[in-house]
Amino acid sequence: MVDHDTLIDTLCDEAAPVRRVAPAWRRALGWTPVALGVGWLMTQLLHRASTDWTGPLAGVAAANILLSLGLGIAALTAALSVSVPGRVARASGWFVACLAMWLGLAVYSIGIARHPVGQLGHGSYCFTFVLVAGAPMIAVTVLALRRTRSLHPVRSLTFAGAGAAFLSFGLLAFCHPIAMSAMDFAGHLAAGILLGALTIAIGRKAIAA
Amino acid sequence: MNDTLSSEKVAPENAAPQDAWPALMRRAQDGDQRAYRLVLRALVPVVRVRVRRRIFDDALAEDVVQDVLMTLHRLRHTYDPALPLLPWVSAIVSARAVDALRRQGRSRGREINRDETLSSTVDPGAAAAFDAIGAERELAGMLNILPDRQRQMIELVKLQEMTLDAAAQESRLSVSAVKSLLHRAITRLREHGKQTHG
Repeated sequence: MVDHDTLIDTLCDEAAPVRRVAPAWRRALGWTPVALGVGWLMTQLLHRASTDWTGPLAGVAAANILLSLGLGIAALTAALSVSVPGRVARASGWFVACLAMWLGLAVYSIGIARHPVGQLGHGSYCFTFVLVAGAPMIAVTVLALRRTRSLHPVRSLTFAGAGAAFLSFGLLAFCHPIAMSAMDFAGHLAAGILLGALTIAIGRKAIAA
Repeated sequence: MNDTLSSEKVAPENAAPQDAWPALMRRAQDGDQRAYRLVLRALVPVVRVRVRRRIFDDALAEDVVQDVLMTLHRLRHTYDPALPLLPWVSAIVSARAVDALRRQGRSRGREINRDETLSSTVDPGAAAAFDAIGAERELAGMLNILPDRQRQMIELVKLQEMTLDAAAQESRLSVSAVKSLLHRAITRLREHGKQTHG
């Protein structure tokens, strides 16, 4: 058996006081405004049409925003949580319920559209919007994860990417018609998946413990 | 339950008790190097047992133990002292052991263990080594034809490159006797060479 005392002595000699990490939910609540802020700033580069808040379906838009932001914060919390050794992220009942409601709202929005299926290329603006809003959020989430780093970077970054995607969906809902086509929704999802993939590609080495 | 048993089984008698580990780690996070040393030393046997459950190669297991210690050091700020220490340590051990096994798998994938290709592989140094062994054997055979005294002089003066004086001292003979023995030895070797090689 190898004697590791020399290594232990070296580690102890250089052991300075460290600041313990705060609970994941508190860190997520701190980072979310930053992510939303930089995302919103980036979308100022794009033309934005405001949602009709006076119409009868304004409640649907508000619910969509709340659900998207809630899911984004939950995903970001999960990302920060699983980055700590020994912690796991379990899909709680309310998270699954929120996701189901978010999907339900999307199906409802498709159902009330004049052309539910849409055409190829329909939704390219939304695709661009989600990517533009989400790109700086990737940097923010990677920055947040660098504090703890992660023994399982892909797992943490998958959650982080989902967080960036849902927060971008939340920003998109402020300037999106309530009715949407299936092609439009597919564009949203494609942009979200692309954000997730980019988050993993960019952050994998940066947060590896 | 297993965690407790395994750590009790392997922890040395003078190590810090397991229920003191979270408090020691808290003090270590606050910069107490003595507490840190105590908790790390107490953890080594526990880590080693957990690593060896996954890795059977002794050398690799010890490398992983070292890697775990360094990771514990880098991530010590992520430990929450309100929680037990072992789940946190176990997660690090598990990740590092899996990383090591993956690395080992990758390096094995690049290695070629084929005897037939090994024998046909060209080694430029091999021919020179075989030549040297051959020359050594030939020289030993030639020296065997000489009487002991003459062979000793050849070994001292020609092979070990000693001076005549040093060889005389070594063999407790006079310098002229050494010269005479050398002359006779060389003459004999020359005659032997003429007979064997024409």
